Amino acid sequence: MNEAAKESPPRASIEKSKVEWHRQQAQLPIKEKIRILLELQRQDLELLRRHRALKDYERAWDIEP
Amino acid sequence: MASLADVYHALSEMRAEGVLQNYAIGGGMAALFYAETTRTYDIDVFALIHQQRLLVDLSGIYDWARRRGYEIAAEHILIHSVPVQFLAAKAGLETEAIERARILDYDGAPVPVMAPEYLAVIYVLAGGGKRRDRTRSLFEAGAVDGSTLTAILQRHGLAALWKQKWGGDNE
Repeated sequence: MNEAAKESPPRASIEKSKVEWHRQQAQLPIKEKIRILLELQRQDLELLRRHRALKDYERAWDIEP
Repeated sequence: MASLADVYHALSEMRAEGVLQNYAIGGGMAALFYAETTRTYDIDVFALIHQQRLLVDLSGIYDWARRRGYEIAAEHILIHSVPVQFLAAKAGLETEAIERARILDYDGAPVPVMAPEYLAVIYVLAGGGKRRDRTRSLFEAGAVDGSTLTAILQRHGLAALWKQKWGGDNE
């Protein structure tokens, strides 16, 4: 086993952490999820636009959560 | 600036005014109520809509939108800038999903949202990678009750199709 492998956490532990993180995200209050969604829309649309033409409804919502 | 609660209040008013008989939120927005946030750009409203013979009549919805001054963009109505698509619920699974929707709260606005078990079935039957990911998120969040899901599949004769399309365990 090389040094890097010895120092990195076991894969099972990483997987467990990821599952737990996703579960915590699912349990956020709905209003917080919408705040994240609005932020994702703003970040994502520019990237999408570089790859393909946007559909009519693909636009960032101009609202508050 | 308007908030998402204003959009949900507008939908409630549509029902109160008789524009919609009954409705429930489906699609990606519905999944947000139960699972982690994934991207979506519109709100799918499954509705029981007045039907003339074989044609679904959406004119009442568009008339209502015009009276309110909401822009109509192709298949969507922009309610406070949010694209909302109205989908006539098919008899059977979708209609039952509306009738058994959960009334959830969004910042003081009551929101009828399809239960996660119905969402999972509708996503999987509709197909596509994005919907499959949403289904997986519902399972990972522990939102799907296995016995409720099984009962829905059996009631609508969809167990074999579900197994064929989903394949994975119902947990």
